[in-house]
Amino acid sequence: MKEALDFLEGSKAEYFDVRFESIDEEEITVENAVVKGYSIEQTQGVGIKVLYDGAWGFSATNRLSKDALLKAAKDALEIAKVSATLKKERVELSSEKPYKDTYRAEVAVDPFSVDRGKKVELLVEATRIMKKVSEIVRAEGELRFRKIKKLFLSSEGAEIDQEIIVSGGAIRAHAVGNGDYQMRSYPAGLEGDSAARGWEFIEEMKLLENAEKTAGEAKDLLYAEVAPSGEYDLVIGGSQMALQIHESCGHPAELDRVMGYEISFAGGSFMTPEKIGTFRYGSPIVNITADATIPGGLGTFGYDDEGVKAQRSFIVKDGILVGYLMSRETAAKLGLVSNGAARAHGWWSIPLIRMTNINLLPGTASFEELIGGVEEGFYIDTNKSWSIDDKRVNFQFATEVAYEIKNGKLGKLYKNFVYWGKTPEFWAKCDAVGDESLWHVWGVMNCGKGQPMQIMHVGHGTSPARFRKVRVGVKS
Amino acid sequence: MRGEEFYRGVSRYLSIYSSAMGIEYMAVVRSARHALTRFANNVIHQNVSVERTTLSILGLKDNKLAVVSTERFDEDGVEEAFERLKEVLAVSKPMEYQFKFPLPKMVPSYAAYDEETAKADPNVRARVVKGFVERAEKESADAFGYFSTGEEEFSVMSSNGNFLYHLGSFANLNLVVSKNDGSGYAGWAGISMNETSFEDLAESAVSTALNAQNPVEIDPGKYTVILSPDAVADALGFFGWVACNGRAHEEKTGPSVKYLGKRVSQLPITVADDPAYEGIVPVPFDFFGHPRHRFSLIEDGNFARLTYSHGAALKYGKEPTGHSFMFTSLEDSFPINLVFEPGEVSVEEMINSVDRGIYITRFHYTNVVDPMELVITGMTRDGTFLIEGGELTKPIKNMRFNFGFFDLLKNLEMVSRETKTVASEYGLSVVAPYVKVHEFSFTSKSDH
Repeated sequence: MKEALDFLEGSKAEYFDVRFESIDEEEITVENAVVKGYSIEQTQGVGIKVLYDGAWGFSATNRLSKDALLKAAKDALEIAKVSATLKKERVELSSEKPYKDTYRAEVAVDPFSVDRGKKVELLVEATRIMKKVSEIVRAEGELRFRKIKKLFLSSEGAEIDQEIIVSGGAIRAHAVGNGDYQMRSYPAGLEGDSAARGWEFIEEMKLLENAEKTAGEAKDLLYAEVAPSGEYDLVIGGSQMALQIHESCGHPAELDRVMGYEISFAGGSFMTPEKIGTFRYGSPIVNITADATIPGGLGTFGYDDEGVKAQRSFIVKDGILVGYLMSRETAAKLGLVSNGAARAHGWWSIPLIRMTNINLLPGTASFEELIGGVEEGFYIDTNKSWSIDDKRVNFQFATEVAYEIKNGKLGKLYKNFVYWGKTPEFWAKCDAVGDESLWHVWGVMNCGKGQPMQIMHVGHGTSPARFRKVRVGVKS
Repeated sequence: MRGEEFYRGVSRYLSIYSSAMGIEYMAVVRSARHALTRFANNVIHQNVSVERTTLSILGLKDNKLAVVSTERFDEDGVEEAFERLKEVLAVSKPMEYQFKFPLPKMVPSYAAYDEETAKADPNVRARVVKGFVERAEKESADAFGYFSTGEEEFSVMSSNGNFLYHLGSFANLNLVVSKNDGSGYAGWAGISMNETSFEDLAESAVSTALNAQNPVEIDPGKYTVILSPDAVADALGFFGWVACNGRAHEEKTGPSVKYLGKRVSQLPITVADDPAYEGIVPVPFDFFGHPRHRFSLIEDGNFARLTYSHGAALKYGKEPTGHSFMFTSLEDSFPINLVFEPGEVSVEEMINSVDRGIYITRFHYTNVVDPMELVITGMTRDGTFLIEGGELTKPIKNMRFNFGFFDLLKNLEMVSRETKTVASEYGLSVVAPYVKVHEFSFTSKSDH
């Protein structure tokens, strides 16, 4: 990369950074005890970001020859010059110490060192167990591993070398019968659960131990009643809370979104700057942090993709909106400094403001107390469908399961459960959050944002939580 | 771009190591140069260019499958990829049905390349963006969106002699113009920048934004609606993925179980996957080299047929339909060149026919609530208007809808003769008309 760096040093660029990334991925998909996909993927390339005359240019390539990298550097500079022709004000960056450091995520067992046959056998056995239930037409199991190596060099003198390992997995049972189709997932919907940890995380998920129960619940859903409509108290399980936090707090707290950078695609945000410090986001027990330092969290790293050190800050404190997820550019616009949330999907992507680990801090209630405090309501979990408006206010989510709660006791299973509301009104109804023993950092692998679309892995620490009088059910 | 000869060279290396290791293969090599200029608040805030080439090899041995992807295309890189395939195949398990790769087939050729668009530099994109910004500023409004151009090579090769090569260009954009409490939208996709009028797109977004000022609130409920092509294209994407996938039908996990072979609309509508349709960004063959021709899904109002991937066709004894686009999900398929063919009325006639209803410019954040009935939820945005007495009378605040796609087809009253080509999620395009639908269900409202 020397020629590219020398070229940029000799240019009149106000700032530049060069990010080399090498990503190894391994994904295994098993269906009904048959390996349907075993994929090994390798990519490496360089993304070059240049600030010239107060405007940005970015170019990336996976041709790693001297000439190709020099061309990418020249392209990034030329693109920045063009951007500068349509600017109203110069991009300023909040000040940042140029770190020279190495970060290695703590992993007990490197998943890439684990015997491939062992991985296959785990999924084959889990799906075999699920398939024993006759209504299961498709029993799925998947594992995924990612090793991300990054070298970040900036014109300010930063030299940051990082390695992050991601492990994740899921099982799913698709059931057909009684004129219906239902799906049950474990340990969470979509791509299950993931963490910046090693093979030990997969073992702790206990996929085999939960296969029979998962398939049984899928079958039970076929014969369950459809959930009613009305207003009910809800106890929302951890994995669904992760989705709730993600959509109604994480995304609206992205300062680039607040400033309109995402309006044409995913929309804006109701969390406008004049609300900071005064706006009641939720009840006083609602405390939400952005924390990229949680060991093993999927949104944990040493430094973001602008070289800002990982940190913890509050977005909501005692129910009041107090902060944002920020990049150096957006923080500077508010006279603040970045809290390290600029992240890129890979070498081919420009960093955008992304969630790190966005967490609802634990409360004091045991699970029994959460349920015991409901006269008539539901315990719901595992996301099935999600949608929220372009200001992140009007939402509608659906879950795989809903268990009736009557007089403080869990009862029968209902299906096709949908709840909806408006973000601040909904969070104002939160009257209990589960204690630390129930708290878990859920990993979300598929957070989409930006154009071109970038897919980011993020984390959400949460316990189950209770909400009063939530609107349930829709009639189409 | 790398040119056809580069891909033939990769193919030769693949053949050498396939023979040496006794592994059959299908391979896809894609090389793309994507450039995108993004703007917000009337300035360019993101301006990127990315070049990337990837090789994905699906290996087959002893009826076991594995996929290896690499970005090294020299002989050593291909050898290493086959070594990895060999390692993975050793621990894999045989498929439950006999898997085999198809013999080479003749594939169609579609005009797909415009050099001016493929090679457009940042100045070209900036000029277009500047036009949008100046038009917005003339009305004291703000412009937001992106404009993307580029080119992509796509080659399929196999151990039984297949070699296919396709070169295409693309351009697509979206534009939101915002002023005070109202906004408007325009979007487009195609293979050539010269297929559209950027001035008309800007005018459309600006006029919608100006008409959307001071929206009023109305109650949720069932309304007659006119959906714009952008909204129709959004819903069509779910239809293609959820309802047309032959695998879901065979497993009885999709709405085709109830609706396939039935009349789903009283109007003689046709929805097809049609790479030959004018304005579409075409893909002439799939990952297994199956040719892609016009393939009607809904024909004359009947839900006529489903897509079958190469794997699903082998498993269920069907013919593959040219819709295999994932080596890691071999039995899933989806149509990528969707076209909802035009009707006979004009948009103006359509609006005039509505006594009281709602015009929707665009859907936002749609998702499936119930796959078996293909119930879709989402919000309206960027220009939602009340229609009274055959005219758009006032803007209304956004609302949440929940509708069953097949209910929508059942309640379809009119299809416009005007269509638009809009960008799809896959970076390709969808052609859709305006439609008039009665009893469209809004279930809640927003504050804006």
